[in-house]
Amino acid sequence: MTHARNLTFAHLWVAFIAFTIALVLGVWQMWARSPLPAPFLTASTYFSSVTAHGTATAYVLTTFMVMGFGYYVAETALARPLPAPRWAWIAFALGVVGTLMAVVTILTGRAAVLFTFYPPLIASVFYYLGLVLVVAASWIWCVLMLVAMGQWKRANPGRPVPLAMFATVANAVMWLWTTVGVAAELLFQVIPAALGLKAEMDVGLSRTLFSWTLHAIVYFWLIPSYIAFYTMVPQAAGGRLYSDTMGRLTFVLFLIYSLPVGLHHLLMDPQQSNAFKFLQVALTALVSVPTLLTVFTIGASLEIAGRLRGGRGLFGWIAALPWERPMVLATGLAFLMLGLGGFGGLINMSYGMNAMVHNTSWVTAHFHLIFGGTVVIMYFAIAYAIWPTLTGRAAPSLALQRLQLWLWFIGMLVMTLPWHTLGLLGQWRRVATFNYADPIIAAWGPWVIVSLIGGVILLASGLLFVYNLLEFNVAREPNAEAPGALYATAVHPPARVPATLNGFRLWNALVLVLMVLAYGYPLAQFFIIKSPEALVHRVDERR
Amino acid sequence: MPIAEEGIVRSELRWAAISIGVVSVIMLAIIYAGLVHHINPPSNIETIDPKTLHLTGEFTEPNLGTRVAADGQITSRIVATQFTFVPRCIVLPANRPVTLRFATPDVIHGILVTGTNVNTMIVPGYVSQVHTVFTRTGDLLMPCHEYCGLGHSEMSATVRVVPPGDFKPNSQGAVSCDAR
Amino acid sequence: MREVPRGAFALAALTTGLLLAGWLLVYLFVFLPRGMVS
Repeated sequence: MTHARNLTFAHLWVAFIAFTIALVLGVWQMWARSPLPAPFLTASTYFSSVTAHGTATAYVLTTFMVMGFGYYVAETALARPLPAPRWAWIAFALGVVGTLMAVVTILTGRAAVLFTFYPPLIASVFYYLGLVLVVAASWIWCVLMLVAMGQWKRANPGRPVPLAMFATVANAVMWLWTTVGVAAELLFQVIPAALGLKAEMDVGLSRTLFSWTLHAIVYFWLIPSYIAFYTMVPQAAGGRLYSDTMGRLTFVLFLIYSLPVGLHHLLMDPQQSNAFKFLQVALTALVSVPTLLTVFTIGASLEIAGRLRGGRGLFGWIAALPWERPMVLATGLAFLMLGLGGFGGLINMSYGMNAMVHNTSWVTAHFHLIFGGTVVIMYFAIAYAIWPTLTGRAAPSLALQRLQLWLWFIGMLVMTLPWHTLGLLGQWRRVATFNYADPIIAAWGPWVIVSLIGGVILLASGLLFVYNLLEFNVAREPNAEAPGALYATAVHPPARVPATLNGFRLWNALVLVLMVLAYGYPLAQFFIIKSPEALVHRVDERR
Repeated sequence: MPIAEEGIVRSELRWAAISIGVVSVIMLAIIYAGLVHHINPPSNIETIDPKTLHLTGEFTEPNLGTRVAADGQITSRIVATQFTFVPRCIVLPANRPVTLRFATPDVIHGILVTGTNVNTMIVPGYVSQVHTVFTRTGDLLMPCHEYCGLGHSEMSATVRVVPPGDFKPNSQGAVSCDAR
Repeated sequence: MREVPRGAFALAALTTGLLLAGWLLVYLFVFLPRGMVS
């Protein structure tokens, strides 16, 4: 490892610090919404907190984690130094400056627009410029990943790109496509309004542009976790990856089907037709397939490990797995949360059924469980797996790592399961204080408190996570394993793979076709029908 | 490792077929609900100028609330604005087809009606419309469910569903909550 | 090793079956009873 060590440390620490702050804010927010009186509570502090919590988890934790882990994979999976490390550090600096700009603007109460922006509400321009810098940083990362893979392929003609890097670059390509929507919304609508250059804006257009980004972005977040499933978990369990080809196909399917589905976030919106909503629902059903494939492929990979350890019968291999290893434990817990979170997601995307849950706590439950649960627990596992190779020390306490993972799992269930029920009972979103005098709302109170307890458990787990990482600095045993040893071998390692599973030219063409089909008219319609514009509503009082 | 490559490919293809089958069952159930039970998202794509809707046309204040038209159609018109609904209470009959129409002069809002499938976003520039039949009587909560600014938490309305016999329009065809 | 992937298949089928069953239960007992909207 030449340059990745410092880059990965820098990026992951920014990610985890933002994450810890977000946890504290999240607990306070749940306290505010509960029947228990919370301190510092005003509408302004609450919605600034929600904006900060969303920005920290959805934009900072994720982008910095993806970038940092990407640099690690680029050097360790390809066994070569990262090209142009100076650009990686420039990107890091841009990302940090952008984050600080956004944070300061939120903390001074000039950006209570939530991480989803909600135009025509308009915040201080510095909030949006801060996020633009974070996205620009991520674009530099994308280019570096593409260059790294390109260099390796030229040095290794005809050989398959190692799966971990193939998946990382698939993610980079997908991210470049993903950011087009929000970039267009910011560049042409939101930032001109924030600068005072426009007094009106077409809200239907901005919501549709944002929806382009809003679903695909969650795949940007989850691909590192799936990289761990395919390339690290089989190794950690003592097995083999059942199918390298299936792994490549999974990441390709995510690339093509994560983008043309954003309208499923607008199913209750009046400005899009049933025809296009239904088309994108059908495409959303297809994007569930790579996850269903993953459950089988990783299950088979673990089955190999379990049977090698003596497990017998249809399910005996499960108990035989080395659950004391944090990566294995995290995977088991992740898959349990994936089942529940996936169930919630299927309900959300089911066209007319969305009316049952839209903007209720059911939605909040879904994304905390699937992202905060399944994806983030694997972020922890990845950190625990690579930290020995980054610090040069062996893990001081696997027991504390396991405790932290269990606390995260338990806290997540205790927090999100009540939210599912509350959502079906009609509890709606983004509320600073509920009127518990109303009898319908009063019945929700006890469940809100249960959920709050779940949040407190999560905060404890998050703090333990940071403690576990810091403990490496005082650990005494040196790390014995090389980074390459973390990666799994396939049952039948391919000597060659078809060009379509070693590069992205065909898939880029397919994405273009699908996006024109799915988003072409839904966006073009705003330039055809004369949709009236709404007045800009500033939320930064200073102006 | 004694696992044949063809066996791996075959098992993956078999599982892929099953996965697609499962997903197809869900899609068929969705289509069934849409076509047979008439449950579809609210997608009427009807524009309205947010800046003038309070001055002329359908959403001027005297025209808001529930009205029965000459042909018997029951429509309730509501304006969503920072941070209240106008009117804050509407009356509708159970077991009859009704139409709810919403517009906003300012920012994004949204509503749900507790215990029902009535749910829609309210986007400035567009009229949101939901056709439904209420099956249970009582006072239902209709909060604003989309963040619309600092006063969002307090924004809420009531949908009073009454037995059809108690639904009595006045001489102009209007029914309001105060009339009780 | 000849058992592989029977165990994975059983696990995947069981969990996906539960997923589908859960979805159908909500569809039949919560969603459809809440009535028509269009």
